[in-house]
Amino acid sequence: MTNQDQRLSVREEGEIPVLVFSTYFDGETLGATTVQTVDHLLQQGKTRLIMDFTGCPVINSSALGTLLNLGGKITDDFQGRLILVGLTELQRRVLGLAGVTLFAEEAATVEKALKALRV
Amino acid sequence: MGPDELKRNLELPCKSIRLFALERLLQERITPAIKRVLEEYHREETDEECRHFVELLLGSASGATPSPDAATNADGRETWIDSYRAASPADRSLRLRDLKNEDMRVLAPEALKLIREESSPILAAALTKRFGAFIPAGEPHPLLEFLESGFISVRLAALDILCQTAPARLIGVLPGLLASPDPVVRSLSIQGLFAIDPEEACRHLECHLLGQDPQTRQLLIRSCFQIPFAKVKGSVLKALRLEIDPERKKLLGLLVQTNPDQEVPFQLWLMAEEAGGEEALFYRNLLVETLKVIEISGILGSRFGEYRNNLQTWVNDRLARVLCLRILAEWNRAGERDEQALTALVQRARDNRRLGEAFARACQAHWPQDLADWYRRQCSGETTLRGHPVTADGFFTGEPSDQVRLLATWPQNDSGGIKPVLERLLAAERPVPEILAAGIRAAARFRQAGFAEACGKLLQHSNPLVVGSVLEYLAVFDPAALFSKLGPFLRSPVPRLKIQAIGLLRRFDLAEVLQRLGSLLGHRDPKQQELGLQCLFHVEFNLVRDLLAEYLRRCKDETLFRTGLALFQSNPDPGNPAYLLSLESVVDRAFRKEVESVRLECQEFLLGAGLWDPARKEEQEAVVKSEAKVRLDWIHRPRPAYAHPSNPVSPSPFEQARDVVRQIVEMMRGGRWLSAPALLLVAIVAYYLLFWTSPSASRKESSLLVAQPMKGAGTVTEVGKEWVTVIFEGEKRSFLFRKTEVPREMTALRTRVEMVYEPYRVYRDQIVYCKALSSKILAGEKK
Repeated sequence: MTNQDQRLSVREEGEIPVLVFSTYFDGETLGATTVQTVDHLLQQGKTRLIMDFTGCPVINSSALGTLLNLGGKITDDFQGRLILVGLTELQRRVLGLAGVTLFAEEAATVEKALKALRV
Repeated sequence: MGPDELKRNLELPCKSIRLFALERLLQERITPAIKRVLEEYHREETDEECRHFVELLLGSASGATPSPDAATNADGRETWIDSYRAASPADRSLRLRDLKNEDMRVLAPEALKLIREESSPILAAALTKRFGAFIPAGEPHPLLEFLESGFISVRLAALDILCQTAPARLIGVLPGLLASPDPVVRSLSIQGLFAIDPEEACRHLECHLLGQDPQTRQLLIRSCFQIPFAKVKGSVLKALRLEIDPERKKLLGLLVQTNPDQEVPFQLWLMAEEAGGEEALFYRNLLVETLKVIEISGILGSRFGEYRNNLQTWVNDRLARVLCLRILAEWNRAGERDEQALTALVQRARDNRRLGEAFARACQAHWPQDLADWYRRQCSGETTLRGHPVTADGFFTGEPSDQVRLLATWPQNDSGGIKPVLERLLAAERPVPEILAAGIRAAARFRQAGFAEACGKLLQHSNPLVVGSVLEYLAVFDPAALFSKLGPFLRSPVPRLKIQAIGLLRRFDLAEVLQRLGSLLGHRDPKQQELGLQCLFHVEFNLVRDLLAEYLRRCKDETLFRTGLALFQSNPDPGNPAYLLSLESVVDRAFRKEVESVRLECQEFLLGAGLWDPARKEEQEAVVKSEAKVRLDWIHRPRPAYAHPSNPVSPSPFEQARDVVRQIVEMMRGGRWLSAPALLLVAIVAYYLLFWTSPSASRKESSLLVAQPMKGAGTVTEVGKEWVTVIFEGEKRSFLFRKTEVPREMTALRTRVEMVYEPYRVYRDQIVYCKALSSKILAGEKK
């Protein structure tokens, strides 16, 4: 499955969707697409998600807000899990500051994230 | 949250911040390190509500599980509610945690009763948080009742949920919440206000980010990480410049770094230019990082190289323009022109060869013919002077006018040669003041130490040139001593000294400078306003732009208006067009064309400098129009009850009267008042506001203190990298001592001390900087 926005693509590993961010994650422009994509997946009952930021150099404040809301929705409203992959040190710090890490876990690679979700 | 951050939060005196930190842990795994911090904290915490939280957290860390008969998956309303009531506190917490969303929806109407009857604050707060979003919203919203709860944690939980789910329902209580003494309540309320009125929320945010309470600043900086950067950029950049705590400064830097924005490197360069030492290095490093982020984010695509070159050209142009305007200002100083300072500035322009063309362009644009001619003569005379190396003996054989000129143009490669000259000048019985001043300035310029004491004695000199040069020298070699002596110069009737003192104060305390500038611009005397405008040249433009725009809006004097508008011209910043466009429709009719022409000039500059994309010019103009409209709406509409009370330049009595009258007229339209008494009231209010001046409205005096030793016993409450904070008995303010001036034992938290100290400065009314004269540790009293 591939999203219409080239900056965000979705592939499925087994039953687990992996959202791949391949450019600067600007919440103002890519936020709505991300929310729409995640909502669609949640409605399909896919509540364990991976977001891969390996190709994403920057996550800005609006995107942090988007991730915070999505994290809350996935874990609180759908009792699901969200694992973030490929974060830089800077991204890790700001995600922590914004409180996103309260709702999301982190893994070094997609493989490790998949393993954690399949346990 | 890591153990260090948790520990820092739990050490803070504000209870709601401690509770906030503990509450966050409810959603995290309790690691052994966190557990150790909690155990240590539990031993010292005396507050019942906080202790309760810790006990539950430590209980859950020990692996408590619900009892076997606990029905965590409710079959029906009664079953779950009854089983909850019957369970132990630890079991209640687990039952609540495992409750599913669909069950919560069903149970929500009953939850209000459960919250009311719950005796454990942690569980009452958890119930509020878990059920809050599912409670059917009535009028008034049922959760509003819990804003008055006896438990702080419940009040915060209810406020948090209301801010997220029903912020509009908070309107009636927001004025009180926004003015709450509790920093957590204030910061949550601002977040709620963002959903209702982003403009006013930004004003509150900015006032607190630049305000005096460090805890509120800390909380709000964190909140900014979730707000679109464009909305808070201006406030964040101001806060970045004003913040004195290194950790918070870094946090703001991180926020700036994580939001690629073309304007930010320009602003950071201005900050680096104005700041000194390590602070300047911080801004330069941050500038490098933000450039990297802009490049890798790809927001400029293939235009990044062009953008970087434009930034460099802009830097050169600005340096040249600033220098050129400083020369012009010195040239125009009727009756008190300092030829030596003028010559030194020209020398600086000539030494800085990379400015070359940029300087020539700036001169052509700003200088009158007589100054241009004088400059040419100066340049042609320079070769002769440089051709003759000067010794101290040779120097003193020259004519006084030549000596001033020699000192002003003293070659950089002979900086040491200035020392014997100044030694002889200071030892002389009656040196010519102009020569003495030139010598001291040259020593400051070439960083020749060793004259601080001798110079300090000259602060009382009758010649302002000498005093000015001493201020400059002491700012380099004895800033701490200078700070405590600046007060009289800030009030000096000699404009040169006043401007210089404000310029120097900027190096220590920008918040104080901004307050003083506001007072000068709001002064009735046009001379004081002019002085204020001259001082604005000493401060980064983005810090004073609001102040200036507000001033220009009310200014009726042609000369003063043009001086102020020239500041917009000299700082063609991407934020300017919106400010100027909004000014076009509110300034005196006679000035409108001029403002428009400055705006168009600025837009041209932005296009040329690559700050505006030529391909998106129309789009950018539309943004300017919409931002200007927001500003105008804000200027014209009556202030809502939740508006921030502060205003950069206080509204004129006419505007205050207009707002009140407008509100009364609105009420009359609603038929609530009889017209005759209402008209009488309107007249009284208008008279009161227009003709009566409150004695309390007098300007605030300097925060600089006349040093006087004091004695007191107190407790160490914070230990930073450079400073130790002590709160003395009977005092609410924090007293800061340099770490290097106190005994090592005083660098441990909660140490009790008795000190003799000399306060030398008050910062934002809350922090007193002191010199420690003697300290005694009060043994055995550390808690």
